[in-house]
Amino acid sequence: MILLEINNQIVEETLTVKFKNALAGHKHETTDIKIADFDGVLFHVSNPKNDRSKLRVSISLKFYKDLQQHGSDQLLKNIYGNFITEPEDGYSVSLQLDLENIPSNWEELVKKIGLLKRNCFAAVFNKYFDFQERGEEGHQRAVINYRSDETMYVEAKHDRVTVVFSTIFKEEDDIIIGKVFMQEFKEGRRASQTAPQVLFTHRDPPLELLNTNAKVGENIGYITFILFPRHTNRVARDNTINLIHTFRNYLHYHIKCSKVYIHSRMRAKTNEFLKVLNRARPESKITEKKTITGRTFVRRE
Amino acid sequence: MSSTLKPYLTAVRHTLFAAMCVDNFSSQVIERHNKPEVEVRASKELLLTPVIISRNEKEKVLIEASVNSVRISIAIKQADEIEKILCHKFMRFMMMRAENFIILRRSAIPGYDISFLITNFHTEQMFKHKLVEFVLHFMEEIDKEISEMKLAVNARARICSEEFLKRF
Repeated sequence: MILLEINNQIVEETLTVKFKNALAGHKHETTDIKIADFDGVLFHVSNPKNDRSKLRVSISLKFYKDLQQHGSDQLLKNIYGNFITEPEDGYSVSLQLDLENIPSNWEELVKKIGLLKRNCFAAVFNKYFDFQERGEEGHQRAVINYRSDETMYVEAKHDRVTVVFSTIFKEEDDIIIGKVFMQEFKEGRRASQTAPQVLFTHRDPPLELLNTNAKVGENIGYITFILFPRHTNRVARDNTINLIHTFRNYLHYHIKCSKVYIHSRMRAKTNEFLKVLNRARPESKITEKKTITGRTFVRRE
Repeated sequence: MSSTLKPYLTAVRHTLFAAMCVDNFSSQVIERHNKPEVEVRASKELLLTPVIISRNEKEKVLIEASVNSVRISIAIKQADEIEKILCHKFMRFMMMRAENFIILRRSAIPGYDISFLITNFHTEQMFKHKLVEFVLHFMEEIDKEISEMKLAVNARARICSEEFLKRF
């Protein structure tokens, strides 16, 4: 599994089970499930006002205010239509589903609900991709604080869109392994001609962010994606958003996998060394011997 | 580069054989105690001259001997940052398990990456030539292991970035 999934499996499976049960005519059960996703995002599947025939799916993003500024409400309305309701207490967006009136294309709907987090992000990207399409410049860059110390900046120019991720490496070793990964990303053009340009700076923010109060520190890295019209046009847009919005999680997931692999190799090697060392011990002499008639001799050390 | 490896290991082997003539020797300073004199370093007459065998500036072996113990410290080749952290992680991993390893020291001598302490009790329980073989085997395998781990990290990085970027 090299690429991370962008939909939430748990939400999809829960809803599929509920819908199947309802379609098969089983009694509705009470639901109250809290699901965590990347970036501190929480899903909550429950029964609104204890009505077991209705399901409410809510999502809570700590940074939803930043996304709202860029029109995420409108986009979600376009995608989910009548299912949007008043957000539940403490959550950012809620969808309400009626188990009595399940639409015929419920499987498609379940998949769309699984992509709720991705669709929340999509609004920002769509807005800036549109700016680039129309050739407009001079709009303020978007700043989304999607994690407590990490920020995403999106800016549109007439011929490209730049997305900058700031990320924190919690340990020193992570910084070095992260640098190895980013070195390969920078040279990614070798792999595919259509790939966007990727730049990486450690400690200091890149030139685009020069006059902002972007953080500076030993364990901070900035990753810049330069997306060209072939990535931001209508056809390729969705695919681009799918790949870019989870990039930070993808990078850190693979850094952790590398550390796990290294650890298991070290374990194996250490065991091998122990085996070699134990060969240095002489085999213990047999201390007990018996004769044919059955007498036992025990060697005394 | 590897043309210096064989003579280096041969030199280390011969020196270790010569240095590993240890005998039981109770402490002269404290009654009824038996300590490894190379660690205590209290009496000068019990310590032999330390020997450093260098392959180059970065790779060397320090062998300090005494009447009842030998301390062997190894400095491992670390060419770049990733090799440094891999070596550091690996050594720390093993030193935490020093009890299992019997002859390993829990902390390395400053200036070196890992240290062994072999006392007369160890040579009484284990074959001396096998102990020397172990130290040499260790030195060879560490270098190989660190290179392999570095290659694995680089390969993983390349595959991840290719998979990601080719989807655009």
